[in-house]
Amino acid sequence: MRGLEQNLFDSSFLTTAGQSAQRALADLSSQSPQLAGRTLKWLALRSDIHHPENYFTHLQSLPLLALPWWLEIALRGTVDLAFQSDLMYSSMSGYYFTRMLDDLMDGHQVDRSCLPALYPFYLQFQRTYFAYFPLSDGFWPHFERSLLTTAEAASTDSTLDDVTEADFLHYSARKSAAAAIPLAAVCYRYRRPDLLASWEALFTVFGRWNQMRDDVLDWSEDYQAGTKTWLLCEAERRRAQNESLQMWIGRSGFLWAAEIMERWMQQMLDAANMMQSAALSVYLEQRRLSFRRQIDGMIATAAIYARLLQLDESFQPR
Amino acid sequence: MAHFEKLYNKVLSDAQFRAELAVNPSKALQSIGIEPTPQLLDAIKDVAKAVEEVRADLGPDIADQACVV
Repeated sequence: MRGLEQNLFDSSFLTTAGQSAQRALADLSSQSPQLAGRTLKWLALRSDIHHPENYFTHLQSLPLLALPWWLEIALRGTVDLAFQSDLMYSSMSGYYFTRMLDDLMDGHQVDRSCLPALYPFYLQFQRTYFAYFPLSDGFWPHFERSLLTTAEAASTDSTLDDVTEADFLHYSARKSAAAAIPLAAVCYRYRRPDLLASWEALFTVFGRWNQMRDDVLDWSEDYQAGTKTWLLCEAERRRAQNESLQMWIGRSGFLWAAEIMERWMQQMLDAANMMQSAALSVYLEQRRLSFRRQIDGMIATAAIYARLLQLDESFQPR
Repeated sequence: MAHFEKLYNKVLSDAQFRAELAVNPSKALQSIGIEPTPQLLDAIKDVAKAVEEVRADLGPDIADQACVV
């Protein structure tokens, strides 16, 4: 799979991502060495701490670092490496902040001695932008709006008992809204705020696609954990009286989700074409193909398991 | 619920059970109150073989992410 990423991301992108990840963790270590040691143990359970950038540059990851890079290329034909490195440093730190908070909200075990790492992670995320934008800059209202959208969506999503399409669109799929902050930074740094709406709109659709993908791939874990997702709630609503939730997922649910996701993907591909970002179009095509293979495999496997339903009850002693 | 509907539901929604069924089908079946008769074990073996073929076709990266496999 790394080969695919190497084709998709050029070497300067991957090198900059590697350096930025090292800087984010080195800053944590130099300021708070004890805290950093404990936090790295938490991080090691989630990613390769020798190459933390791989977590962000994997094809299946949210393109948190790549979108601002592609936006700058679409805008200027090149990138300012120092600026992109700062954006990556900020985004990785912001991601760690969000991930730790998510782990807590999801009830996953996080050593309590790690929790104060939320302070330096947030500091590293936000202070980067002060180097580029004075408080009076038009960037800051976008920063605030995106961050508060994430906060509101994450809070409400965690309380939903019955997830409808509207809930999914307004809350579940908007938890990643803050990832549009570095896009705003690129637009405001180069005085092109007019470009932000189209990139942000594409990212909003990507957030839907990505959230649904997570819900599809993790459906059985969510089901076991009692987590409510649009897919699982739709299964409850749509299954026939004599059909279990699992049967509906296996027979219809994967296909239902795949069709919705394909519509969103087509919307994104059309938008990427208009935005004249070849790299973004290639990336989206790769994600489309990769997911299609995954979902086809899941549908095929579910159909094989459905043979179990045809087994003769006489196989069991009376 | 019929025995095999219970088995299907469990196989589809419980990754740990799926893994157990592949390694030790008798134990996995007994854990949900199903008698591992020879005919049933043969049928399970056929299903496991067909799933393995899908896995091989997908390749390890994709198969591991498509968690139902």
